[in-house]
Amino acid sequence: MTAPRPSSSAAEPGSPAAEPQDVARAAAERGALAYKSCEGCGRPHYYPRPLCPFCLSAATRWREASGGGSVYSLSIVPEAEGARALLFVTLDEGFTILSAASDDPAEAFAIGARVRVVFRPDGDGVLQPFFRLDDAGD
Amino acid sequence: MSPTPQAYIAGVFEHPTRSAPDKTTAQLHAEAAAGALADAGLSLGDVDAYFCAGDAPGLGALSMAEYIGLTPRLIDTTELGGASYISHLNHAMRAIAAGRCTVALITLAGRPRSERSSGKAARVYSADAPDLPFELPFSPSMVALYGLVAARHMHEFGTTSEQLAWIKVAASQHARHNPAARLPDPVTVEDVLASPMIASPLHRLDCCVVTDGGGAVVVAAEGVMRSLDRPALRIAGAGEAIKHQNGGAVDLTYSAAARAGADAFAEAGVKPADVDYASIYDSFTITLLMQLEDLGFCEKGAGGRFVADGGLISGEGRLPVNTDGGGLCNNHPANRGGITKIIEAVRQLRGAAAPALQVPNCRLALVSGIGGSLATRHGAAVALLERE
Repeated sequence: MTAPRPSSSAAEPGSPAAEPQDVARAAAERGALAYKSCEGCGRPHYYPRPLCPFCLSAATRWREASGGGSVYSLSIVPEAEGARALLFVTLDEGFTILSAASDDPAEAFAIGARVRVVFRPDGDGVLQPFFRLDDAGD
Repeated sequence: MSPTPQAYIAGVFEHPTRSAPDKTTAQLHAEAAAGALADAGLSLGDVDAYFCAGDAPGLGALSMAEYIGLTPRLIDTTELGGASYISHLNHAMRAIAAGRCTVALITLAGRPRSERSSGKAARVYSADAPDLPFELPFSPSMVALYGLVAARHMHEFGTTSEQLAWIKVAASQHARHNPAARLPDPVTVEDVLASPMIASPLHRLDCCVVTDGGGAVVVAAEGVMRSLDRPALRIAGAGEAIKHQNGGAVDLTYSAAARAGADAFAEAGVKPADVDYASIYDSFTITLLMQLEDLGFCEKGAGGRFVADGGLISGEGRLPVNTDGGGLCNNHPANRGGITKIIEAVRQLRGAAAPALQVPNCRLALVSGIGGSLATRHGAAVALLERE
């Protein structure tokens, strides 16, 4: 579950690639959901940032989530091209992230449902962590 | 030692327009300022403090002070979204208490109706917001973000769409007495449930109106207030707070109004049962329900039962709320409801509300606002106003 931080110049200060979203994007391209955890207080956080929002320590490290979680809340938005579902997903690592449903029909999602991350391109073609129902779950 | 100087609301003005395609936002600010100063019986030269928020065009207070013609020596542009103006009341009170100003002007204006800005699209406040790359790809419209909060409330506490609909019904029963209301016709629970689903579980009629317009408030020190022919409405206590996703430790069951309200009640030395009238921010039905619970008008989770069966209708319910018709039916200028909440509370305390909805001998009013998104990051501001 815990992996070395993504390769390349991701953490090089001053380079564009040091932006958290660029590190997350590089992880997504490898099929991994990147988040950060603090070496100081031990807590995970999301969205990822250089300083821990619980203790302001700069000793934060990139981690990769298992990708499994459950729906904390959802809102289904009817649209001409089909309904979509905005989600809050609580990952098995204990933190909750804003995301949206993918692959399965929006109406099939419910609070408490087991879900698994899938990486799909957003409107700009950037891979983002969406969630589908977890067939392997209960 | 002399007692702390007290602060009073001396003048208010709600711009009568709900659609202003032919006016600029700056002009609406200035018209609101003129209206509130006239209501107070004060003039431009009396103003020595100016408050505005993110709806002010240009470089905020700098642009607006020039446009309106102000020369303030105290300026505050605290930005808490739609709650900003209630926060401004709080800060004006403390500035007056500290002797830093004597007449504070607060203005709000905007044209979302003319500019076709609504809650159905994701809002981007600035391109470099740190949350943006992790949220915008999922198109979090304002309605859907509040839908997340409503869905969790239903899951945790058994709140129903019918109960939320009662909040709209009460607003519409009030709006029919307000000739300026954007939606003056009464609606039923069935009407709300039959309206199109915008973002579950929120229907179109669970959402506030989109209106052009504005409003302004004048806060005065005691010496100024005593010289005016107006009821003295004292700002008895105030509080404010911010709540966010807490690094991923998300809990949608409560709002920042819990902290803001506790501070305001403690400062004023009163409790929820003492409140005669309440203006409570109603961008969506769930917004109002959440604050009712967090402010202590009912237990957490009991908001649905509190609002049901006309619980918020003046004269017949448990607590008279938003007797102007609120943001749900009357007005939500600039997509920000904070200032209209103050204005209707002042009408009630002055005995100047719609006669059918006037709370008899209204002496203590609560004003509560939520700005931003309940689901991700929001500010709350609460003030208690007392007629002396």
